[in-house]
Amino acid sequence: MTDARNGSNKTLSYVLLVVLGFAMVYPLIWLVVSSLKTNADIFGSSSLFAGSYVTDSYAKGWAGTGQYGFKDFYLNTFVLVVPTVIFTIVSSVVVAYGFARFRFPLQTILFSLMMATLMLPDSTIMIPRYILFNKMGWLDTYLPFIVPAAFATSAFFVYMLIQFFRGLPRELDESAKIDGCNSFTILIRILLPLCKPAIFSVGIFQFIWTWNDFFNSIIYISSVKKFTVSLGLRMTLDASSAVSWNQVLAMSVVSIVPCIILFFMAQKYFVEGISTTGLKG
Amino acid sequence: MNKRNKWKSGILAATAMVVLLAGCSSGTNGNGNNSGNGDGGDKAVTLRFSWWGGQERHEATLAAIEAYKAIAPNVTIEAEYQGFDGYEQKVKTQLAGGTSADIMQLDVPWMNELSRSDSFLELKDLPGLPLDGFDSAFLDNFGTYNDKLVALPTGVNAYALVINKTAADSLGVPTDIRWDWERLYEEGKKLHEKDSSKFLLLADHGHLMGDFTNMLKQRIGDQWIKDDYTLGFAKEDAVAVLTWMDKAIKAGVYQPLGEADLFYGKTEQNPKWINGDIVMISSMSSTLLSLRNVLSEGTEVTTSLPATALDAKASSVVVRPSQLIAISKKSKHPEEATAFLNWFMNDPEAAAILGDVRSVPSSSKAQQAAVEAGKIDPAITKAVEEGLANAGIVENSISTNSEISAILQDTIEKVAYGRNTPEQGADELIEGLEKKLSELQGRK
Repeated sequence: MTDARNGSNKTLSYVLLVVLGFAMVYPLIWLVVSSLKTNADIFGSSSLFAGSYVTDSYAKGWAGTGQYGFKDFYLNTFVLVVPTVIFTIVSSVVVAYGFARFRFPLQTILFSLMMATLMLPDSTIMIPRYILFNKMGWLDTYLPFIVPAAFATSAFFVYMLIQFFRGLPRELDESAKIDGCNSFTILIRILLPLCKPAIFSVGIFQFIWTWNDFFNSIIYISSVKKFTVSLGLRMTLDASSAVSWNQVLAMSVVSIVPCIILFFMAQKYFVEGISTTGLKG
Repeated sequence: MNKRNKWKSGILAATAMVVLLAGCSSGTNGNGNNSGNGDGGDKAVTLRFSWWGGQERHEATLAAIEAYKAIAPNVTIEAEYQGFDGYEQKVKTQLAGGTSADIMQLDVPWMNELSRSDSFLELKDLPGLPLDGFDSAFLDNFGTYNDKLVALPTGVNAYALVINKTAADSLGVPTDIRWDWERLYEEGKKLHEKDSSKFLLLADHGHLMGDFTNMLKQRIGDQWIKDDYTLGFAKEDAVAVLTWMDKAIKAGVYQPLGEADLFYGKTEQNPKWINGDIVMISSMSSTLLSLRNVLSEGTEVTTSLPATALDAKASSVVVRPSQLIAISKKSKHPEEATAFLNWFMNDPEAAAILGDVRSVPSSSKAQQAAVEAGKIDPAITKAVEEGLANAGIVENSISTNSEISAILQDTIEKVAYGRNTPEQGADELIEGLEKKLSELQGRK
């Protein structure tokens, strides 16, 4: 009898999960299917499948408009994103380690300053930052993205790592010191392997955010040669011209592939990172 | 010992960081070039040209730039093109930072704000840029700010009724007549009574506001808000217009506002339009391509002059530039930039390449060449020609003020959703406008 009840409970939860899961994934399914539809089918009917399909949207979209295609945009995005992510990880770990394990003069003030930058809305520093990078001659390069990342400017990640470091017992540091480690080797050999989950979270978040970032890219990058994928996607969207939506959607599908691959590759650590840093996605 | 180690590792980390940084910055600097590398002289000159648009405009403009190489081999034009999203913010940031392109495409609504800072080259009486092909009133109305001609209109854009002719024919709606408001009401009512899923007009709150001000302007024959910040209409005018609107909405002439507003700003995605359940939209002629593009293949689209009352005191047809092009005052090569602009706007060869990607060219020379090359869509030409022939009052800036629009929107929506009677609506509108106008005047 209990078995039967368990069985029906299980069926119920599976049905619920399937329905909910489908609802969650539906936009993605729609995206993929619509990338093969004509404009009239995309907006004209609410059904998922259409009467006729087009097959050239991926090839045409990939070739792009004018001088540069998505191959260039893809490469550009990697050139921009990979150093940004690596520098963010390295710099955030070092700074977080400092705040979590050392006492130094002005620590409280510096920590409050860092937290203050976390609260500061991005738009307020847009123009000053633009003028600064302009004076440095960095416009139309990827430096405005990469260099700040090397100085731990993402307070969010620093804070997250500090919290994680604080959760690691200090006894580990002490025993490492007894075994002859200095403070740097403690970080490298003892703490880093332990905070892999947190580091993966930082990496994945920063990767996805930089990959999808539109506003900063459009402000700092002006030549089409250096466009990133997020700029390339919106390149042909204009209210007064005919937009081939299937090509735009096809390239959207292609552009989310790296994020998905990365997520599944690092999923094990990422989920652990979220549960152990108390961070909610 | 411990302390020293700490220091050592700190220095080590710092050096590592510096080395890493240096490596990366020199690497990226190598291929980053700022435009000003041609240093004067008449040898190699690089000009930056930025515009927004869709695929066709990008391709045609790039082809024109390619063709310009044969005319001025020493001039390289760097194209900076993108979609409309973010373009305005980008141009504003660039102008603020002094890094704008030499030649840039701009939109009329931005100009009041942008021209305050004197960032554009005065284009009047330049030797390399004859303006005789342009309509001088058009230049005065839209290219001249603070008494300086700073931008040239790329093309002409006119307000029109965009009609799905295929659907209209099958539903028995006439397409070859001049629409007036009563005719719209009668045809719309007839259509909706016959089949309650069909509507004559698609109108989100923006379209309704347009219809309201147009009808009002036709009644009073003047600006509905005058330049001296007073109202150009009396209460009975507003009541009459709102009464017609209320009647039309109740009779199903318009698609219900609740449905239409879901597609505000992306009218072409409205399924009822796509499926031919709605016959017409009042819209600028430039949106015709995107409105037609979503219809199934073979659908015929035509245009007509917007609805005008039989006893109208003035035409309310808005005719405006599709875009403007200006030259930056900070350009290091103003002469070359002017020469390119002249070619781009006036030359028959350029016009034949560009066609109607920036609507019907506003320079008569270019227009003629583009028409001869068969590059201009007949439906758009019809809209623009009719619009130009009946061009109405040019909107003054106070009547397009965003705070004024917000009050009007509120009034229209309350009447459209049946919360207010036309009388209540007119009272609220006048009260709200008077309060806001005196506030705006005080702010001046």
